Amino acid sequence: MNSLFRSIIAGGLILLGGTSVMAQESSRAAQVVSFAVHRVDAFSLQDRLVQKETATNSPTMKITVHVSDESLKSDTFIPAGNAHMDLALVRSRESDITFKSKSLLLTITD
Amino acid sequence: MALEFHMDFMFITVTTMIKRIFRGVLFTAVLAAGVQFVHAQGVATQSLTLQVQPVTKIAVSGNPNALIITDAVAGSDLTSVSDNSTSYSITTNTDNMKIVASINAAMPAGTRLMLQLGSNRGTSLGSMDISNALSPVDLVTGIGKGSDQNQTISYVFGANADIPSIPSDSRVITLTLSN
Repeated sequence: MNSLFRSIIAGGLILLGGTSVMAQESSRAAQVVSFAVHRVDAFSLQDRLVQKETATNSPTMKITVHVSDESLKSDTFIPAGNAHMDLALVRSRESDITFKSKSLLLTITD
Repeated sequence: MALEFHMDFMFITVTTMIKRIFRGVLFTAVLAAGVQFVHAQGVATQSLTLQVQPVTKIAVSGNPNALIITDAVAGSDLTSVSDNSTSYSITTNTDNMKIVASINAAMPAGTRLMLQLGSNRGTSLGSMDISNALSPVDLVTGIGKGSDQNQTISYVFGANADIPSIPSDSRVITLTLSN
């Protein structure tokens, strides 16, 4: 009788154990995503320097304007985070340069 | 005298035959009983309990390729990069399940990590920003019972124009299938 009782208890425990292991109401899977941002410099010229666009993620960038008239040569530094605002200043100055000179060479460097 | 002998002989013969018949019947009865006994011993019954419990499984095919921003269009944000090289599979026997995603640490400021899951059994919510998904973000909802195999996992990594270069880093994205 004791043996039968023990068997019933053991069977019950196994059944309960199986239930807790088998019931799966959620499941997870993980992925590792690696990323990086490289140094990026982009510069383009359109329509006789009236429209210029730039993008850079470098801390300090310089656009150098070489003109035939040495008196108009200038450098402009663009701090990171304000590239578009500072570029507006460059654009206006270069509009004057364009108006007065015949050849320009613009480079973006650090 | 000869008649008496003949009668005695016939009596003995009939008696012997009756005995033989009786033995045969007895033997057959015992044999039948034995067969019945053996047959009765070969029958057994079992009570079989069957149950299908809630089963939910999700697995991914591996890790995506490194997402490295290397370019920009002048005047715009840095050019986003994407990866569609991995997939996920699910099996569930429960209705109205969903897949959520979480990230182990927030992405660097000024960057964005977008995640989209394809789905044939649920409704994909499209490309979701998980850059700061320390709490899970829904990606697929209303998933019905059944399996969905090799659905595309799409990552897009973007950054603002003024984000300085970032050395290689990583995050752990956890996809959870639950109700």
